[in-house]
Amino acid sequence: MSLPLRPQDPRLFHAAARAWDAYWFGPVAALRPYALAKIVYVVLALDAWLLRVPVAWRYGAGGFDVAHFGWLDALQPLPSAAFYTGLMLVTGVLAMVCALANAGWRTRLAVAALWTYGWMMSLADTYQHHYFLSLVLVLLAAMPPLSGRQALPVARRAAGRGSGRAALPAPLPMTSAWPYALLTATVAIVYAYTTVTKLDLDWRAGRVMEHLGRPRLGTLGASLEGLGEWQPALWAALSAGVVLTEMLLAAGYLLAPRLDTTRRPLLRVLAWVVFAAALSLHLTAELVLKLRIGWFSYYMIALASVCLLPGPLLARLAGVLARLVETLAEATPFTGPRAAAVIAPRGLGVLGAAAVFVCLGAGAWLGLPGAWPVGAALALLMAALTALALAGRQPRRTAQYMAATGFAVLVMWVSVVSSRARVDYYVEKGMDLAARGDPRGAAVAFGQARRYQGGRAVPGRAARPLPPRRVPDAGTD
Amino acid sequence: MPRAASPTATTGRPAVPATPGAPVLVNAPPTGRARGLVSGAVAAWLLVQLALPASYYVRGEASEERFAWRMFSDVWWYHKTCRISLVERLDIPGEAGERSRRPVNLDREYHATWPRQIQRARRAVLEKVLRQRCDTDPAVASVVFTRACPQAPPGRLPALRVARDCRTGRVERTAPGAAP
Repeated sequence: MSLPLRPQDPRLFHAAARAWDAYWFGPVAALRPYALAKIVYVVLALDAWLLRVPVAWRYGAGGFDVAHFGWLDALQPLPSAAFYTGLMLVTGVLAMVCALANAGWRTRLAVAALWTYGWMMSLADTYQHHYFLSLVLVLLAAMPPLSGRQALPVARRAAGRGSGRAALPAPLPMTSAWPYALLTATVAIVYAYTTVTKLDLDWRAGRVMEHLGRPRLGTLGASLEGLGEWQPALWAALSAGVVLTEMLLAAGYLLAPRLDTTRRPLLRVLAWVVFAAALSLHLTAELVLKLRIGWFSYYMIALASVCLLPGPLLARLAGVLARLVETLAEATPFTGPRAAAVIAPRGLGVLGAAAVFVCLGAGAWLGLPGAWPVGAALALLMAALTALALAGRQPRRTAQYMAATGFAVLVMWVSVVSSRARVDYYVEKGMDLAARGDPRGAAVAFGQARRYQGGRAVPGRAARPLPPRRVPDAGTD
Repeated sequence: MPRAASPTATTGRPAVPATPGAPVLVNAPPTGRARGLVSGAVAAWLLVQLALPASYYVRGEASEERFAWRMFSDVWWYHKTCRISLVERLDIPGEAGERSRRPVNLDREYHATWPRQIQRARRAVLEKVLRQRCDTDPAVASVVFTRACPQAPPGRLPALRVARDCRTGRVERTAPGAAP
């Protein structure tokens, strides 16, 4: 009969070390960190342009601002709407470049730094999910380099070309990715602490849940009145449901890194349950409770999809998009037989000129303070990259960056001008100026909002009404 | 901007499987000293992620919920019903009592974001607001901020009074009922 292991038994240490290594350094489907990075960067870019730029007015409004930390307050000048707008535009462009061009760790770290500074610079932004995104971006910067070809499975043909046999199921490429495992562990910690938050008395009793839910119920609210003394129990039960869901999510994300190597069907079933729980929680928050939390719910749904869905299913979902992207990539001049022509001096010159033009145009025609300096700075960068490429410094890679940046700027411009971003920016500016006793400034701002809404105010005619006044984004959850 | 090697100590070379049938990894895990360094970084990260939110429950300052993953907490709910006021006491010769008190209309003086932060009595925001009120008008002798949160359970968000003497710069935080 073997004796139980004593705490100082080296076998215990070795077993713990093996378990630690298996958890953090064990294989995961390469598609997971790859897809996570792509999705987060694209959504972050759109978040920066469409949700953050419209609230830029509040930064430094009235000559007042307070940073998150005293040392930053002492170091930085008073933020301004123009500076914040420019910062978010650049952050979004860089994030989109990271999504398009397999950017290196320095570029990815720059995205993390710019985004983090964006919320750190002012207590006007206390969204905790912005801090969460900073953690995600730092871990994405540490992710191992992965290309689409490496991450996506390639179907193998059965023996004998033209045999008519179906392609063999493609094995999922695997990789070691400790930042991915650390990211899922971080998400688990977040859910664990949100669970702790909801153990407070008023949450357990359902009073906070009632405060959040009752205004959204509409006609259902009348039927709830019929429950009489059972109402508190209903809200308490809903609160308990939220607590249990978040506990489940915390546990599920701890298991996520081992999903691709586990042989236990129970764990795979559990992953589905956790995924369904994530969907229900965040869709309820977004669509039923209509919580004003930016795109936090969508980030978490994307995380759940990438981390919890089975690898082969994820590959099938990603495969369609990836094939489209690959087709486009093959059609671009950076690969294949036309690459040589593009990275020849004339091709680089044309590409560089186009990128400079796009950056200058986007900056000049965005109609927001801070956009023009960003456009000019990006144009200078494109010119510098063109010079580097022409000097023979990694012309193919530099050309890819130039094209990705130009495309990102174009997407930025299209996103901003085709959305409410500019209207909301000037409406918020007008409302603030009106509240602070500057009716003339407010009128100018509202006029600009109408212009971007698509109708100029005509003298003698009633101005076209602005969009319904949105409840001001509190900037804090 | 051309991509440099990642500093994460992955080798960038596919790992040769130690046992037949094991998957070939696109990126190999770090080995040797690099693995030790990465393990240390992972442990440090986890420690910070666990300790920072936990410090909220140890600090005992209910209002400051940043970095504690306390979204839509009961404290957030209590704050929505807190009543606040900011009053400037003026140093006008011959004037006393109510005539020397001037309430500050926060919605008029500041962007809509800041009254909410002031309602939460964020220390940094409050100190800056009080200092700014003193600096804006030399006639202001002191500025007093008060907050009462009737919906909060006793002791959870106690009533607060913060006063800044504009002449000396001294800031005094007191409990309710203290002499003005």
